[in-house]
Amino acid sequence: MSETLAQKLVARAASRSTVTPGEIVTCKVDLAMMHDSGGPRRVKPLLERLGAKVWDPSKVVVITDHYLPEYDDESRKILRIARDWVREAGIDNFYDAQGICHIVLPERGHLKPGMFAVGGDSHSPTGGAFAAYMFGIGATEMLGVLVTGEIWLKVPHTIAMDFDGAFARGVSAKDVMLFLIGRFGLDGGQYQAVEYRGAAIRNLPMQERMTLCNMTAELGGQTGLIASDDVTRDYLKADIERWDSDADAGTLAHHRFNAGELQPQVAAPHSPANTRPVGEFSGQQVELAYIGACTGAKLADLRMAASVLRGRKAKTRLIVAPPSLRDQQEAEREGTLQVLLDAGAELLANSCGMCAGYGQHQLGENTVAISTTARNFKGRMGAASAQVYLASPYTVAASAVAGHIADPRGMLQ
Amino acid sequence: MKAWVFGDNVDTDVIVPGRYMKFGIDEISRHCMESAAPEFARSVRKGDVVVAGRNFGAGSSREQAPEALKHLGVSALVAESFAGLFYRNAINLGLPARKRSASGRAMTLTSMRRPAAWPIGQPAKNCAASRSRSS
Repeated sequence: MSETLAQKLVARAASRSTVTPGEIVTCKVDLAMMHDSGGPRRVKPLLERLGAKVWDPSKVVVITDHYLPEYDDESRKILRIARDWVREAGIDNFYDAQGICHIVLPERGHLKPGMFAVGGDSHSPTGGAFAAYMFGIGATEMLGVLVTGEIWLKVPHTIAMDFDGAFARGVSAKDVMLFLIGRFGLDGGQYQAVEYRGAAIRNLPMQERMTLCNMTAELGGQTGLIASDDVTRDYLKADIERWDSDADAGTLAHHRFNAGELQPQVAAPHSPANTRPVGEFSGQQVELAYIGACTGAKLADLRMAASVLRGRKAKTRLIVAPPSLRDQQEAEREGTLQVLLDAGAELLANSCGMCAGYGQHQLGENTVAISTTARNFKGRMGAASAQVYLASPYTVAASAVAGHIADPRGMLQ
Repeated sequence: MKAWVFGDNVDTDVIVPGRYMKFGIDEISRHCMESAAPEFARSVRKGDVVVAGRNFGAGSSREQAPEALKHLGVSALVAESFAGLFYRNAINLGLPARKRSASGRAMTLTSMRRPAAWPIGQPAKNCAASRSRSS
């Protein structure tokens, strides 16, 4: 019987030969990831109430990212809990101030094709870029996983997003996702598995694939998936299993697009679904450009921004927050970071920064910003009166130079 | 009892804004829904219900979203649909979340059976007892 990638991954985790979409199964969890905000701070008191221990500390990864850098008593306390708890619980896989969890996890080799994983963060579908079934859960479900090593799942249908051809220069994974969210809505994914396919997807580098799967959260899918291939192998620098959907496997919907027709996209305040082509916003003034977060400032994203900013100066305030220390170091080594600094960029720590609105850097009242982040919900990045437009690193860089929203395609170098 | 009515795609940043997430649930709850309905947190009373359109709870995995609603006394959520992650969180915390019937009419509250609250750590026999009492 033909099966989708999602069915195959769930069947393996449920120790079943095959599973049917809609049935409820119990899966064994290969990896559980937590960060400082939804992780130890929330699960430690619950574990203590139960008198329970972590089922397998070697399968738990804790990464601090939301409250870094510490800036007040509350944030210091939250990070202290994380640092103390990993020691008490015997968790060796602890990455402190190394970057955002969704980037650090695969960067340090914790994901591989075929795995079944959960994360205490809604952007956990990022792991699906490695043909792993990974999705976000809340703290109480995480407690269940930590104690039992298992979680229930309603076997998802698959919605296939198929991109033929090749994306034009100046068009990136962020544009793909803003387009899909605008087209299908914040619940277009129907809490099913969204699989990205086609020649244009196969040609995307790993970090761009991660952006697709990450923003499946904004599309309302449970996870985003991409088959494993040579690109996956080269990123992981390891022999990998090949996981893919069977060609004739049934899907809930199969949408085909010509990749070459996609233009740079911009989402207007206050929803990633308020998306239209960049040209419809030209001239909209912005005072702050933010290149940050797990979907917007990885090495691949910094290179996109640099291709626009080289030899130019930003007219707006320009803030850059690389989501991993390793990506920042590589950007520094190859000169990409210097291009951004020369354009006037201020550098923030390797953490969630302004995207989550948890830390010390937040948008002030009535600020109009353009940002490479994933969400522009009202009040998310700071004041509820702030207006946030979402766009790709190319478009955010071009807009920083112009002082208003601008099409990057005429500015690429 | 009062029904608080919201539209489509009420997101978790509206339900509990990120800048308050570093605090405990008392303080977080004080800001629940503040950018959509500034009076909600101080006016909502025990037993009130929240009625919404499509995709209630879009966005974050933060469990404080359903937790704050429950903490403020909201007895149930009725929506056309819920974001999957929020829906699982609400059920896990014992906050009844009910989808509207296919006809588009909200289910009447009397037809909603409150699910058994199973406090974490409570022995299994008590869970069974509380389940039978509620049915």
